[in-house]
Amino acid sequence: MHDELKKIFKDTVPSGIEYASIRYVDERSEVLTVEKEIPRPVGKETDRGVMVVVAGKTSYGYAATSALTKEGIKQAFDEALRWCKITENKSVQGVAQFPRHNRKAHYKTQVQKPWENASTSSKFELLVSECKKLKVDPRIVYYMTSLWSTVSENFFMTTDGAEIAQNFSFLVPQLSVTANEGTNTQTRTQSGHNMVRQGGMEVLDYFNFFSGGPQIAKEALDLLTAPPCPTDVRDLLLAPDQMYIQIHESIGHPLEMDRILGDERNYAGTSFVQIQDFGKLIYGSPLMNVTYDPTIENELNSFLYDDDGLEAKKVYLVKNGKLEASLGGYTSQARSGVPGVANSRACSWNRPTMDRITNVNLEPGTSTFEEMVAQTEKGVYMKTNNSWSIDDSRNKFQFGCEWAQLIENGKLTQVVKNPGYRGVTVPFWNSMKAVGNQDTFEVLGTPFCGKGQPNQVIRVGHASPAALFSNIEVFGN
Amino acid sequence: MKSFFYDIADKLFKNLQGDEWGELYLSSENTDFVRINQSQIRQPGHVTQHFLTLRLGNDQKKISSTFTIAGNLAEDLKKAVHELSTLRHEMPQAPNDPYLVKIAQSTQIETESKNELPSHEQALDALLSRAKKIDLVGLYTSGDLYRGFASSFGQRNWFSTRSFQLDWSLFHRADNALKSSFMGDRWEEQKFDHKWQHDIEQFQILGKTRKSLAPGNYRVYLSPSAMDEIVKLLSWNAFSLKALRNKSSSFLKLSADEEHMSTDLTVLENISLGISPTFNSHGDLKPSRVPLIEKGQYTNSLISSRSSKEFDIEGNAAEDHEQPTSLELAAGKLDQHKATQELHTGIFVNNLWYMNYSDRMSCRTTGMTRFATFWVENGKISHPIQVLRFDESLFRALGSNLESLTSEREMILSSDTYGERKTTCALLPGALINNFNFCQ
Repeated sequence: MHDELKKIFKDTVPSGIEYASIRYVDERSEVLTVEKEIPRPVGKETDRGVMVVVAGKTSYGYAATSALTKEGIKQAFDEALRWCKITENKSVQGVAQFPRHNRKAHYKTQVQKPWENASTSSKFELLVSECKKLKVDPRIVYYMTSLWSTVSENFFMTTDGAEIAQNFSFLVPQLSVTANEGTNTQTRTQSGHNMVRQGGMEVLDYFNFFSGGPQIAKEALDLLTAPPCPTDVRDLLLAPDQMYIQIHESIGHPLEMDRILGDERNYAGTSFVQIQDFGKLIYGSPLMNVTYDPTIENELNSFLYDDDGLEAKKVYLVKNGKLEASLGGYTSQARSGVPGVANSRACSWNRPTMDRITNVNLEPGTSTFEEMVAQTEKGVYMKTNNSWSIDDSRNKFQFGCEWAQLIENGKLTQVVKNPGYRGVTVPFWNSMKAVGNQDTFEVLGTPFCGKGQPNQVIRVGHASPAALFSNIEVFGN
Repeated sequence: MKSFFYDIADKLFKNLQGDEWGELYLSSENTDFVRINQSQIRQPGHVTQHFLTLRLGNDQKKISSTFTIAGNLAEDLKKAVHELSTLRHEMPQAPNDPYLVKIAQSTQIETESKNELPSHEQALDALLSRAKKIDLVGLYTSGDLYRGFASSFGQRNWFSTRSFQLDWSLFHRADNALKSSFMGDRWEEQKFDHKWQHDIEQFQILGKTRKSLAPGNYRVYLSPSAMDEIVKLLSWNAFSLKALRNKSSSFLKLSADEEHMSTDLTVLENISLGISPTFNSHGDLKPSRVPLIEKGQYTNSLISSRSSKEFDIEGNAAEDHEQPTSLELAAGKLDQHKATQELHTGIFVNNLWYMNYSDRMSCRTTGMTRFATFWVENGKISHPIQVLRFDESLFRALGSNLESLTSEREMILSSDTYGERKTTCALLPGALINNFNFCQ
């Protein structure tokens, strides 16, 4: 396909223009689901198309098409050129805001056990077997297992001669169990929908897919009879499967430069962070080190180049608590003058690029999990996010978790249900008093980060250790 | 596009063998998207996309493949025949399905729209020429949208619409803004101008210093747009039979008669509003009305054909996700123009934002106020307010604390464009509510 695309690109790109690119995406996905031990119908999807971009000095236009013929792509370039002409001297974006080089590169996910090597029937056997393990009690009323595999082939070319091929394999396994008595219902999942990584079937081993079921089933039953989480102010210890969303909502989104520049104000929102805050704002405690890290093997957004062709390198966004760099791609860096990263991405061929959260991680600290519990006199340990809400400037947040356990005088004690907490971003991160070590560190992510107009839902990687925060408003029900 | 789709279905189904049967679903659009920031064009472009879903069934099971096509009959038919062959090859590996959905109908229902859309120059100029001295951010969407269903049993359904939508916000600073939209299937300059003038009046009030309110219980008026956020949250699973039977619906207590909503609250799925296709992606034909809540009592759920089989209950042609596509809340008696007067002293909320459940089983929700939200004193808008977080049970807010609903309702068309433009809508009144709990 690459050779064919190269020829079509050469034959159809408009003459006399400053810059053009073509981005081909061929994404094949399959979802296998078993509910209450019964497989759901098999469904697969092949999503294939191209996005073309044309830019002049002060003009810009894009067009996307699923018609991968020479005529279809020529028509797309005509549409992009039409918009380019309409926006002459009216566009926010021009040719100076694209990375310009002629590098060739190739990336491929390291896969040990390819999805396609196992038959559909054997994968269903596995899912039914794991599903059965969840039915440990008559009060378990719903239980499911699922595997969602995606293979994504991406090929990017520019009129400067850049040719970047990046092929990804992703796997999203799920285990979920619901216990019920009357109208009292509790659901436990294995890390929500956040057990997601690049790779093949070996991802199941990384996430302990084969041993996690009975434990979450027991926890769902325990929650049925547990008292509500107390409503007061106390220390809060968060597991990585809650930390990921805390990082996502209160670090990732506010540092997206397109939000700071106002592009997102009509939909996803703005940011409390201002351009002048970079290099100055004390975002969190001195223990806080947050990176954009595309180098962690098999994290969701590990790659060589973003979708605009900017090379990806690890960058500290927050170092020892101080805000250093933004989540802004080349275009945003040119518009703002603030250092950024290679995070200009699109969810597929049919949407344009914009600044996205991309492997935003809290670096591990030095505390063991036991040390963080031991240093807590009055606290609560929460795990697995099930509710999230934050204002459009990314200040006031409220989160809920599936499961919690009180910490009393340095020991984990009573399980409590329906736990939640709320806070304000900068004071919250400044209250971080311990960061878990490498042993508590987990590489997670979400396949569902929504943003942009037109809307885009995209995969986002987050890795984090457990972390301890002091004097947080917690509540239950 | 309709004849293209019917042609490809006719030719493809001739390739079926033995006891095989087939379904074909088309989701397609040609759309201009123009993103605007600071009253300048930020990202303009065009998207042409065509997705076909082919389902191959026999007496025990059905498997499916969704794939992109070019819109070229010869080439796409070749691709579809190849997909059919691949599905046939994979069929033996698929497990039997005890809840197999097979719609053996041969009806033909068609809805087509052939109006004249405004040119992008006309719509964009109308907006941007008025916003020269204002910080405007938004999106212009315009174009054709198609949905088609065909089965080897002879069913042929078609839906096409041609529409535009301007969706924008006017900003004073930071998060201090007024949200608005203008949509339709033809340009009406006078109507747009009236809308703009009304917005500007409210926008000027927003320029006043913002009042900061302490957490606590306040009397509120929720506009139809704010009510739409509540409806969107409830749409996750409250109306789903599957969620109800699996004990995870936020309306479980309502259906069990443990909780009640106001007798003023009547909710139905009303496909006759005319915005959504009257058939679903499996070819099921939707009833024109499905009562969901009547006078505060749970009445029915949205039930897909699969749930119908699993739970042995009559279905009502809901999609597999069992979410509403055309939700209607019955009107009340409050004159919308007297809403601030009836509110007297409290918070006038134009928009809510980022709602979620604090406790799903108690239908306890949280979220933020957003955009133009005002403090009202003695029946008059006094000041804009700083954003507030609420944490409130909808069994209370739309139950014992619901004072009245407006007699006027707004038709809210979805601006959702995840993957594709959506065809969902909601017809909603505003609501006057006592003791609404703000916590942060």
